[in-house]
Amino acid sequence: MKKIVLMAAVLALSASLASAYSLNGRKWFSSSDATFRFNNSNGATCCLSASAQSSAIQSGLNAWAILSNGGSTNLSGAKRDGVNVVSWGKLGGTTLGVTNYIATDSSQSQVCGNNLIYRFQEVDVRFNNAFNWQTSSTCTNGFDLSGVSVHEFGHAVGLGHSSVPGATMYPSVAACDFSVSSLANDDKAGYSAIYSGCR
Amino acid sequence: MKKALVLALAMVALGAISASATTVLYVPMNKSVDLSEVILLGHVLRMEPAYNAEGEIVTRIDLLVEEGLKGGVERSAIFSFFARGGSLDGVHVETVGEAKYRLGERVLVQLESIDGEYYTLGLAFGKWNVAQERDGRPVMIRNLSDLHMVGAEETPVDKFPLQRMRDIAALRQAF
Repeated sequence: MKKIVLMAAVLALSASLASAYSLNGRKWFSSSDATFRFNNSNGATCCLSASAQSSAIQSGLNAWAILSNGGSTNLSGAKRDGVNVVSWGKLGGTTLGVTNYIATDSSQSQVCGNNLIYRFQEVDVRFNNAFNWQTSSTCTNGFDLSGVSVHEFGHAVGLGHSSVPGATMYPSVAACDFSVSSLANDDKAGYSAIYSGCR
Repeated sequence: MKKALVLALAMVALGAISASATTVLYVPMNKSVDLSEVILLGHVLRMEPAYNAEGEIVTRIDLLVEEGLKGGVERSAIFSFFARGGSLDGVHVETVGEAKYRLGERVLVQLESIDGEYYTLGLAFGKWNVAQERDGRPVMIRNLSDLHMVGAEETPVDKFPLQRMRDIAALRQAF
């Protein structure tokens, strides 16, 4: 009996290790809830025009199928206002972007694979307007706004970090690295684990 | 069988609660000391939710200072700074990647000022727990797992001798 228990534990462990992505236990239950409004005021003053900043963030949003752009808003910051807001602000000398889980409904859940996942109600994302944001390979000591956006919105769909180097959800990336703005297979597998076959 | 059940439940629970990240610039220790306006060793005395100047929910941390490594704060002073997120007026905000505090814990914090209010540098990046090595020397440990780090040119440091931090802080302020 002990052998069977041990084998079952090993199998369970290997199954969990085979997936390099991780989940954070929350998801959007409906695409209509997962609409983000943009506040483009107070954007970064260096290096990119306001429209370039907006389109870079939009491309980050577009990477994840359930998310959509609901237009503009004057709301900002991490506040419970019923609106998922993407905005700019002062975040200090080293913080590039912040994802805030404003509200989660823990009375509503789904089981996806072996994971119990609760319902997101509101998420706000904020970028630091003091950084040297870039969008091209001519970058010097800058940061890929599209890539950071894809990563932050990856958290906003319910993904944690991946252990696969090169994946968008890998926890570190070099300055001027523009490779993470498109999803790797591991990112797609993680998304599918949250949004496919749940009950 | 009970052990296997407990293991399985623990794995499921872990999958459900693991948090996600905020993106910060990784800076090596010397640079992080330069960027910190205040560096303090102390014990968490009080934690209270509040609104910051922008109307966001934050948690005010009162630290009983044991040692000021940078910023001119004296021993025994009570120094207040903020952590993003918290629970207030029926609203709970979780800023992913923010440092988590417990009453009474001994910490070293690297703080920066944003609009006149102090926050840890790079959220969880600037908060260290202080423990002891087997030989008794104090060591600082931080949890970087919830942070997405950009620009790391070295393996991110999550453990560092307290005495070396004191030495770096003293040296960097001397120049």
